[in-house]
Amino acid sequence: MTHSPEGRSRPEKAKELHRLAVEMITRLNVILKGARIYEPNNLLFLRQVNRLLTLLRKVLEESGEACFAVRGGTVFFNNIRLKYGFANYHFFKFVLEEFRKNKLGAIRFEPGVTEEDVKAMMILWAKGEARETDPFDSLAAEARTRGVGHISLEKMLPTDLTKSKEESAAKVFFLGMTHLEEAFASRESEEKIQLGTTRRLMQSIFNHISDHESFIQGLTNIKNFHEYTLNHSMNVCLLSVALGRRLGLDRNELVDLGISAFFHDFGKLDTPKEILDKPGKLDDREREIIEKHPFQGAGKLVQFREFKGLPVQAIQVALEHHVKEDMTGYPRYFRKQSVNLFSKIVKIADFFDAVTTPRVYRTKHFTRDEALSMMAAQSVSEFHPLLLREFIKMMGLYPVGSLVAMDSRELGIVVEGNPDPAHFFRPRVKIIADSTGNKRDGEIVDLSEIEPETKGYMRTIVRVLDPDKYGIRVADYFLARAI
Amino acid sequence: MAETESFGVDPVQKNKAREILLVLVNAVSAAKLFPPDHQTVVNFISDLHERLTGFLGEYWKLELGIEENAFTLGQEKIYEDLHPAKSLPFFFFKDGMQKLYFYKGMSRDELRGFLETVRAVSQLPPEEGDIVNALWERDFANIRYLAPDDFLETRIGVGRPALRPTVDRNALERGRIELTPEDNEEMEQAITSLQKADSEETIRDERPGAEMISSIEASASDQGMEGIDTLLQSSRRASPEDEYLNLVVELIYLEDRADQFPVVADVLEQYYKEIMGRKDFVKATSLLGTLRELSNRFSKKDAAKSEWIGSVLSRLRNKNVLVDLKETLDLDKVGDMEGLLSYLKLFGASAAGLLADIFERARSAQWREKALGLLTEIGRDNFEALGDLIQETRPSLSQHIIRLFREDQDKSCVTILAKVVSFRNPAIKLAAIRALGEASDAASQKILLGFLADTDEDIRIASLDNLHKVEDKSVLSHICGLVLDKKFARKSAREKRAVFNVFSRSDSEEACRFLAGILGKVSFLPRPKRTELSLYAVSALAGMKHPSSLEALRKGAKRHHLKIRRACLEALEEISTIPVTPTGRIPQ
Repeated sequence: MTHSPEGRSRPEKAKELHRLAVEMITRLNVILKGARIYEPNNLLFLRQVNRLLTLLRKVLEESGEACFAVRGGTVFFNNIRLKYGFANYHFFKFVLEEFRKNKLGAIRFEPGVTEEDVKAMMILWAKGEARETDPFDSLAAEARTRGVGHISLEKMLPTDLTKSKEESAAKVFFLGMTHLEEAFASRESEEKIQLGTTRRLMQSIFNHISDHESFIQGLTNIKNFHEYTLNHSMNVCLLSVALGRRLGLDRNELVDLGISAFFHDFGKLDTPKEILDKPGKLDDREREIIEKHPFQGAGKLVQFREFKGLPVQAIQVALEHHVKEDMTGYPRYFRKQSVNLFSKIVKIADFFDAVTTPRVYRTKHFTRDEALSMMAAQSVSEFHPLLLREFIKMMGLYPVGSLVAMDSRELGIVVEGNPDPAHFFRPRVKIIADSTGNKRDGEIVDLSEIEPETKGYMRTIVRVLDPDKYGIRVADYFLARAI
Repeated sequence: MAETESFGVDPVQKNKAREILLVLVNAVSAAKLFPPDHQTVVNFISDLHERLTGFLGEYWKLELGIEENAFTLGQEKIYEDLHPAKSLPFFFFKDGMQKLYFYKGMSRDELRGFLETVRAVSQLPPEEGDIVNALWERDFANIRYLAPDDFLETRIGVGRPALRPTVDRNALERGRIELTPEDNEEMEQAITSLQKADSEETIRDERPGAEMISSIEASASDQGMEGIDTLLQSSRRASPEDEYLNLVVELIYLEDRADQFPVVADVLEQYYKEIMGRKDFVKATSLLGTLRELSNRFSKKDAAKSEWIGSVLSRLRNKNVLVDLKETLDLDKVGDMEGLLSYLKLFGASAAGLLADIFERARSAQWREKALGLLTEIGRDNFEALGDLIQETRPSLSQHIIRLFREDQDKSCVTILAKVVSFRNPAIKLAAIRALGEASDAASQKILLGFLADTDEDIRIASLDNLHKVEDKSVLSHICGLVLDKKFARKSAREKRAVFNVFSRSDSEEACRFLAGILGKVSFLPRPKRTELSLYAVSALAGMKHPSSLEALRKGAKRHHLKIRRACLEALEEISTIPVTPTGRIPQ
């Protein structure tokens, strides 16, 4: 172990630096939010600025530099990748978004930085949403004009600045379906599945989820497009990776989880279409055939193991995604006493997507919030309770894609959950109809916004509606941003 | 206030970048040719690291554009290689990379990791290697790349109509949404309640899903987080190999389509080959054990399946597996000897050869001991299986096996020891002689005769000493032949005595007759050799308790030859002190 002259080892120093950086992210989160609400001389705001400054000075004294940078959807501090946990996930998400809004790649604090410098910079940074064109250039110019010293800014890299993240994400979504279709077809003709490409696809999915999770959740409102199983598998893949990310799986584990979820219904290839799409109840023989699909899928995937890149969990997930938490369900095992973590995750995503998708054999499908309530009610025997709770937290009380009526009598589609747990009930909503019921391609509003005059919320959700009842294709509101 | 923008390319910067690329290309070539710790590779990495660090210190980052055959800086080509097979720019380009960035702060370890990744991918078949995949997985903090998703379109859906969703934008903007009277009423009621509510909290509890919220909030507790952490840790601890093995077993258990049995068997064999290729004997043992368990389980309820599993098991346990293993096994590299021994145990006697190798070559006394233990177990059930292991080249093991034979006393296996006659190793031969002596049956006695022609006197004597009850006439005549042979005179007194002791122990009429014949031969001239023979005969007769032996001695006591006569008298005198026996061998 290498020791620094101060007596602390390098890993210890890095750990301490990481701790300080995470604390600074928390401060940044509070300051940037505060800067939008409070006056610059507000005591609460200034106290937070001072706390950040104290931390910055400590780091500058020890390391000579203090630089936050965003690369590949993650935050670095002095070249150390910052890791987040359950507790601070929302802070990270918020700060990352603030970097993106301003196309800010890095912010570097230099020795000599003052309270005035930090305060001015934070106020400018918080105004990011107002600068629609060239936000970075505008921010940099304003900072120059205001004479902000000892702080340098760097523009976001092209890697983190694709023209339209939504467009790219939607493209990946449909490419994913095509790839799965190819995989299904290749199995029929005994060709190899291009698992290298699958892995690459999963990496892209991971990148998009890191960048814009709510939009990806929005895409999972696409239902029965082209072919049910393909669309469903893609949705399950996206939801599983998103949940896995929340749980703290690392990026390589998430790619494996994505592949596993992607192929979870591979066994349906062998299930006759007339049974899969049969309207009404299945008889015993048909049910038996349907219940074979996990085993058949695993049996097929196990033969692909010779190809590099197929994680063993993919076979497990294919086999286990209908095994319940109490080990009932199907298939019944010979010896195994538990199911794999990935199977538990995919089971939740699979169930959620299945019950929220209209099917010929189902008299009623659930809205997204109804599905979550139902799942919560079944949690003990059907799902792993802790994983389900995380899933519900991720989806939000009003999941992305929910059709909501507000006290303004406007109708809207939830496009993003509120990252602040205190505002769990106040997501961001795209207005789709005004208070008189006229459709409109409205703006996206933040329901946690406060009316300056009344100091009350501008809008509040009063009812969740079933979009199908009104012929509303929720997915179109997301796709419209992408195509 | 400083603002860093993408840098312009000045000639100095360009030259430095060009030099870095030349070193990078050479470093990659060296990494492909030599192991990572080879001095050439180490030197290139040092040089490259030094140059890059210098460059990054000055310019903060190196941003390389990637074209089909060239690296660019700004818009300018600074390195070109048109040969696709060895072109580094093409290597990155083919997988869709458009930019490669090196940042200030890049460590030597990162650089080494980067080169190692490039080397590893370049050595894979083109359809398997993907540098973008590999770099993504390594996720270097200060070496980044740009590879847009568009590239996926070159790999997915080629030759297929693309899936293109359409959105009717008009439908999003035009028309009306009329709420049903029920929804409308409920909305109005909720708005009224909200307006009446004193606080946000009041309305909150009335909303759908309020119960869910309390459960979600509870999950933020430490217990919830710890629970998830435990789940993750447990998932990470699980060995993919164990998981796979369990899966395969479950798949066999679940498979009920006879036509699919061969498919599952193929998978199983493939997996078995894999684990055997890695010499993972614990998994192999576990798999074979589980198959046996499954076969037993199905024996009553599904005989066909049970039989099938049994046949798979036989295939996996056939002798060829051991032959392959023997060829490829490097005992010094076996990490889990316990696993190997458990695995070999499943093969029973077929594994004796490999166990013998372990006994002979294992460095640890513990493993030698365990191998020997297993061999002993095999020997107890089937001594014959160990016969082949008695080899001149395995002196220690051979002696152990012979010792086993002595303990076991399975006389049916006595012929196995016959081959020892031709061995050179005296220790093995002595062990075999002792074993044969203890067996003391006609066959072992005959085998012992083979040792009488040995060049080593000790062997010959041991062999003679172990000829106990020489009841077989052919054995006795063989010994007689030895005495009559001219070479007998050249043998040592010890050996001669040993030969005559055989007669003595035989206690037979034939022996008495032969000895009496020696004793009765008279010559007028002094014949020291004959005298010596006669004296040995006296000694042998004295040791016999056969009535004819007394008769012969009495006759000898009447000989003119003083030495012989005296010897006979002494013998008779000695015998007279022996009490009378029920067989009537009473000295007169």
